[in-house]
Amino acid sequence: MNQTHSPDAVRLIDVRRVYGSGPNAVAALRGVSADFPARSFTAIMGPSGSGKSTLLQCASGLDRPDGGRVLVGGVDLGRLDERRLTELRRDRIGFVFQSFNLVESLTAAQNVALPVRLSGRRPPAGHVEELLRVVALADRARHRPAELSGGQQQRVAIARALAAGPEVLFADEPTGALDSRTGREVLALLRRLVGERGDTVVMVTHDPLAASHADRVLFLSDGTIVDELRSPTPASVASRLADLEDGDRREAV
Amino acid sequence: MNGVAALVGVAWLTLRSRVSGFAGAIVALALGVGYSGAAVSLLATASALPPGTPAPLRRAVQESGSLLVMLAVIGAFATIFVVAGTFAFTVAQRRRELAVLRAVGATPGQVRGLVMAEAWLAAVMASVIGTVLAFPLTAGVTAALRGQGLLPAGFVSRVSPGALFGAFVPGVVIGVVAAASAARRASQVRPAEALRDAALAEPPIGRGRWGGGLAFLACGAGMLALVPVAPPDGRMPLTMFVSLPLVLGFALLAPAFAAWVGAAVATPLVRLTSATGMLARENVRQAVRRTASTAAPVLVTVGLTGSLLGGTALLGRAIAADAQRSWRSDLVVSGPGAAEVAAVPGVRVAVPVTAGEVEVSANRTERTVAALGVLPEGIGQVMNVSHVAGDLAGLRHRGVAADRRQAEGFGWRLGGPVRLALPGREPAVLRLAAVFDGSPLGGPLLVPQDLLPGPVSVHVAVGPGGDPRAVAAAIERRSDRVRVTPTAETTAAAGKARQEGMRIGAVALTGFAVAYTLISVANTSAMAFGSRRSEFARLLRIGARRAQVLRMVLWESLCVAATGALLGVAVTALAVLGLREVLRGIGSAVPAALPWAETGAVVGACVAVVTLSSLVPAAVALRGRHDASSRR
Repeated sequence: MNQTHSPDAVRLIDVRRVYGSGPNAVAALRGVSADFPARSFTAIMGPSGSGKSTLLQCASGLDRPDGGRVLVGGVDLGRLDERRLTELRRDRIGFVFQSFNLVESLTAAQNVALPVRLSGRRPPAGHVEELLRVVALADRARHRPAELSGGQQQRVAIARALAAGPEVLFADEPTGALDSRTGREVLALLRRLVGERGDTVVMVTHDPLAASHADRVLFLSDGTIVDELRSPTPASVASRLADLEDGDRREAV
Repeated sequence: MNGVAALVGVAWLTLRSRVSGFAGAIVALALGVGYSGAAVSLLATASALPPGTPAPLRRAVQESGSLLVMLAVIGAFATIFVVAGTFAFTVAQRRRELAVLRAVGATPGQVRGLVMAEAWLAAVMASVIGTVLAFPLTAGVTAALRGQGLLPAGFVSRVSPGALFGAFVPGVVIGVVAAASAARRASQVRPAEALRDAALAEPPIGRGRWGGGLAFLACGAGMLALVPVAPPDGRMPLTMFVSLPLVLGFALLAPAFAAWVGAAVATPLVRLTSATGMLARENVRQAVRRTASTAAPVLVTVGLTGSLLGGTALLGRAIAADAQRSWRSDLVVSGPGAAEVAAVPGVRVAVPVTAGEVEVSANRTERTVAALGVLPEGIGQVMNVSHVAGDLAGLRHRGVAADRRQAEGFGWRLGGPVRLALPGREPAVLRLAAVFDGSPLGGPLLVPQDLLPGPVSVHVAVGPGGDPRAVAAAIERRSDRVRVTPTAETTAAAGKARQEGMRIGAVALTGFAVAYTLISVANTSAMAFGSRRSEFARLLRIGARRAQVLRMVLWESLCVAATGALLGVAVTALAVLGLREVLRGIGSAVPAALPWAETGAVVGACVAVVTLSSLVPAAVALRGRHDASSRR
């Protein structure tokens, strides 16, 4: 946060990830290089099994790549031990899950404050209220997740992801569990974060409509980045994705 | 550690919102603390008896005290088991939540700290409840022991603050220690598990668990092996406790067998039902960990019952058989004038014997040992004393004679000093005049008769070719005030009384343990089935009827209970047959009989508890199905 923002919030350099070993080994990422500039909104798309989720896990420090480097705010994640990696994730990376993953026993405000409190600090006065205002849930601060709708839960999760003032926000199918209207609200919120607050968002999705909210879309196929689309529209994303899936199908035949 | 306050806060909230999950641990721990508070209070009252208290009262208090100590050991065992099981379960069920914590920035140490904080809170809460429970329990236990005649009618015990403190502290410690392995497991949850349903199947049984399980089995085998070399009065508790490590070992290794035992049990159901049996079998087989942890408390309950009751019955029978064999006499004569029977025709030898107990001071401890007051003449003809070393005639001159192994156990040397306290006398130093091979289980000590006063019974051996019945009749004709009984009958009656005493002790121990482990059975099964809300909702959505889902739950719970019961019977067989072999090895062969009736009753109770505590939460979950399907 005091750190000078490097132009790229996240850089991936030739990242490789293999699951399993021996004859059962599956290469999920086969040398992916990508830059995610600060204040940008990037969507990652691809047919199922293309390595989208693995890419997200490696970029966000949830998983460790087998080869290559991941830099978050200029810090090489590969050089950090488990504890330092956790601390970096806590202080500099926000994560939004498909299934919200709020802690059921905590209120919305407590959930938002959790990452900061885990770092042994107290959130500054008004900080949590401010974040809940950003996601338009200031009036739900004392509600528990079970008392909130899906869209509201996801917005609480976004506020939580923003709590520590991260350099980058990763979102894994953030609208996957929502109906299309609340999904659009969440996407508009992410868009606003980038435009108005200058946050950086990297989102994995399979929904062309969702991807069209981003500045650019990276297409992943079979563990490598195969294409990039700037200023996407739902139609252009859908047609590009259909080409990729057709390609997959032709290969399979 | 960073964020301790945050952790304790989260722990408190988790605990509050998951009271049902922790209920089993808290109830078990509270009962344990309350109960040990009561037991220690009772012992404290007993040890502080005023100096003038009559000896029988003192003795009764002591005896019930040692029963209570055994109960406390079993209680601690069961408590650790229940608490550890509950915490392991809550951790397994919260993997996702813990992964979220890891993903949003909790370090492994913090996650471990969170679970430990929950354990502290639960343990302190339970111990406070237990301290309060100690008051009614002290009164209740005292009343129960008075009712059984183990305590005199006038005995009143008071709850002592020291006892409460003495129960509170171990309660908290046991609670926290039992949660330690669950906390370690929690800290190993990977943050990536928070993503979608990437539920990576954990290995059903880790290396540590294999190691622990095998170590406990080895410990059980070691205890069995110790039975023959242990001093005779240490054999009884050893047999009682040999079941604990065996049961624990089996419970730890349960995940290794649970899947196929469960599937085997369920196979007939698959034939008998259309879909529900198949679903139940696959659930039992696929969720190995869940099956094993629900079956484990059943295993412990059945295994403890079977091996405690089976073991003591076996030992009781061995002791009775032993007593039979230690006498060679044909008749026992008692009553005034019994001493003159030597003159009756047909009597080859008549030896007056008194029976009682002496306090032995050896190896810096005091032990109460059965003793016979004898005269050396003819003793070899009425008792089985073989391979005598030294001289039994020394019994006349302040000498004692003992079984060879018993003498070794006390560290006595032939001709060396023997420190004894005789009833109503000052402690005295006698001399070990002779050792002999008595009974395998260590018979009574032989002491000079003038040192052990009491009613005399005369052991009579009939001459070769004589008819004991005719001799008995002849003795009875001389005086109608003597009583004549065949030796076999006398020893059988004494053996029976002893066996009955042991059985009451074992039933008390078992009853207590069962009451305790049934809590754990109910708790785990309620947790396991109550947490499957979304799975049940999914079944309803694809067209299953509520009754079908409930039937599936019923089949599953029956399979799980049967799995636990089968493994429990296996533990019982291992413990009882092992003990039989050990007894055979030391020359005491008795037929083993497994306690089918009691085991069957306990299996029935387990099945009832498992099915009830699975159907009720499942029915509740099904009632709220709209809720379950619209939200995660």
